[in-house]
Amino acid sequence: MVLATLDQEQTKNTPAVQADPVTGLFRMMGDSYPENSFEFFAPLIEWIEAFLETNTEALTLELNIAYMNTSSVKAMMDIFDLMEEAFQQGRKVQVAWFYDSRNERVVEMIEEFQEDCSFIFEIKKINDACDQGA
Amino acid sequence: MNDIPFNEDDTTQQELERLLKDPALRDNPLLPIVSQLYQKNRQQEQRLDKLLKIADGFDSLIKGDQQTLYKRYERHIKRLEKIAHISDLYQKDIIQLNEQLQHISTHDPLTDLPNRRYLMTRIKQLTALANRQGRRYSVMLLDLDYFKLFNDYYGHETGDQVLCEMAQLLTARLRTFDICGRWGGEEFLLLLPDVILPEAAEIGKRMLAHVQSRDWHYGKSLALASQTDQPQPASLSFSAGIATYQLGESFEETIRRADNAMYQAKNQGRACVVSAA
Repeated sequence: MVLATLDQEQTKNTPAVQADPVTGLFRMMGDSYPENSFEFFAPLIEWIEAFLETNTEALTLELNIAYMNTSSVKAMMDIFDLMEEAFQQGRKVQVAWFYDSRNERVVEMIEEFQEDCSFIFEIKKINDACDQGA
Repeated sequence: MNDIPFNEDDTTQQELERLLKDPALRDNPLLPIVSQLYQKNRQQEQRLDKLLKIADGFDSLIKGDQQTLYKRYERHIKRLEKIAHISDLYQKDIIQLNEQLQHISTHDPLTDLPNRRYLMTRIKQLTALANRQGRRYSVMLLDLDYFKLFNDYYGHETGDQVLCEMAQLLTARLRTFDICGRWGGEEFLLLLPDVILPEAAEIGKRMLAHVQSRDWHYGKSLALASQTDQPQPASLSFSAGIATYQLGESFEETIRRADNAMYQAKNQGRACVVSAA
């Protein structure tokens, strides 16, 4: 099975998504409060599952999300669970979560996610809102 | 049968079994009855034991399952609590961001005074109160004198600093329910609820005296930079126009009258307070 490249534009309430099966880089940028979180996240979770199953490359998740609604929080935890499971089985996975220096408060939320992950999970400050951090 | 031991008294059992097999007692008429009772008793014991074993099996099965279920339940609860916790944090964050946004939209970024939009909202409210309950309010528009010259002389940064200090100075001398806002450039608007003209003019004069009595020393003069490095003293004043809301007029008219009075003050040589007719 050849895994597709994902490239979704950012909308008012969903982040931009870019996923490359060759490099194993999965990026999400923007706020996340989709009207139907399941509909939005299901294909993304499927992609990550398929990548971890079919590919041996490292999976790198780069996030720049300032706001998330409850169901997005749940979906994100599901994604981290998948990554943790893969990591326990010897896969190389990591997360880099970028945040805008003008809103330090989100660090607290990111740290909550980080707490349950034993793989590399970096929290990085970016100074410029235009800087995507990658 | 022998594999099931007696719980209570092994010697009694052994003795009974020996007697039942004793050839000397073979003809004893009680033997078949005792033997039958003994067999019955043994069978019941065996059945009970079997039942207990099954019950034990169920018990351990249920206990084991309960643990698995309980663990799963606990994990789900913890996860749910975490989702709720993170979600609460995001909600708190968005509330704070909203408050910031609310502040930004109603305040001047330089002086942090209420901005023109906020002042207009308050004036409308006060006007409604005045019309409904007959309460009065006064508007004082004050414009710093020769501020452009001050800016040219000391530079814009110093000019901005003066605006901030002026904002603090004016605000500090107001009652808690009075409002001092930045109307534009070097113009401030004071909103004085339940204050009418003679009193409002007194407030304006007191403020002017306060501003004038202060020494405004600001770094070195840009214009005189080549001549001296000493801080240059400056004196500041303002010209103010005051109007009290009159029943029947629009708040725009009240502001216009205050504005006209302020221009009269400028024309009268500045550094004075003029009450609107």
